[in-house]
Amino acid sequence: MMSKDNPFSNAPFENSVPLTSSGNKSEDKNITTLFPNKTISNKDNQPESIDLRDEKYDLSKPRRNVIRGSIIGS
Amino acid sequence: MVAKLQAETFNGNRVSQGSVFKNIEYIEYATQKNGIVEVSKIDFPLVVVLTQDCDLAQDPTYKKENEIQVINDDKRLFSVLVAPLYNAEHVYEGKHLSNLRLDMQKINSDRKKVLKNNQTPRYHYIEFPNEFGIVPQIIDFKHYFSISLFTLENIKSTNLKCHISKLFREDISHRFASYLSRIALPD
Repeated sequence: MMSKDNPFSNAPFENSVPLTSSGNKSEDKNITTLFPNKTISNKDNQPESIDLRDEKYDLSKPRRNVIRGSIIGS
Repeated sequence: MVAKLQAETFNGNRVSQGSVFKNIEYIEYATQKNGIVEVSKIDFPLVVVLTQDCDLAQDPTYKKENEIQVINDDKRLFSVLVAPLYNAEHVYEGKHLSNLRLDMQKINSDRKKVLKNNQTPRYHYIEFPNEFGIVPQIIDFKHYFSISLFTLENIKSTNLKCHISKLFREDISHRFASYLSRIALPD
């Protein structure tokens, strides 16, 4: 259910595509197949259908990488 | 009602206050022991530049050859301040740093409304124009860090997303300065 206060109410859902870790629209459209649509209840107990093509489900988050290597040469 | 900010894809040929970069690495530490080097870094999907724009403009990096010759390096910058942008929905759920195994405080509907009106000193809520393909984001002023200007210059062609327009970036800068200079009072 969309309310007037919903910042996503004007989002171009029809043309939206999933997002990658970079936080922008991506070419990777297969990600939607991993998450079937389902129904949940939000905090106000109003049923809300999750559409994972919806931009608000951008999966990008900061992540840690640790790199190890030997020093070559003297 | 939250106003969408204005942003531009091109704002001169330099890093400026309000520049939004993607895929920025923050080096946590770099050690060397017995010939083995270990570097730990955090990859931030999006950050915004907070350094004063006049400081960036005066850095000799941006002086053109035909301009007045730079007498010395008095205006040179070592680094610029940036703050990460987090997906707003992840912040509300307290899960925006889950990949770092950090469990953040959830934000309930009452606090969410205050946050979205930018009345929570720590956070700045922003909505980008649709053409940039960026979902609503929240700047966390507590998580600011520095990155070298040299690095940003080198990756500008591939990692620069957009520039937040002047009025909106100054609002961000003003709120960041206010947050940074807050006075810690005893409980």
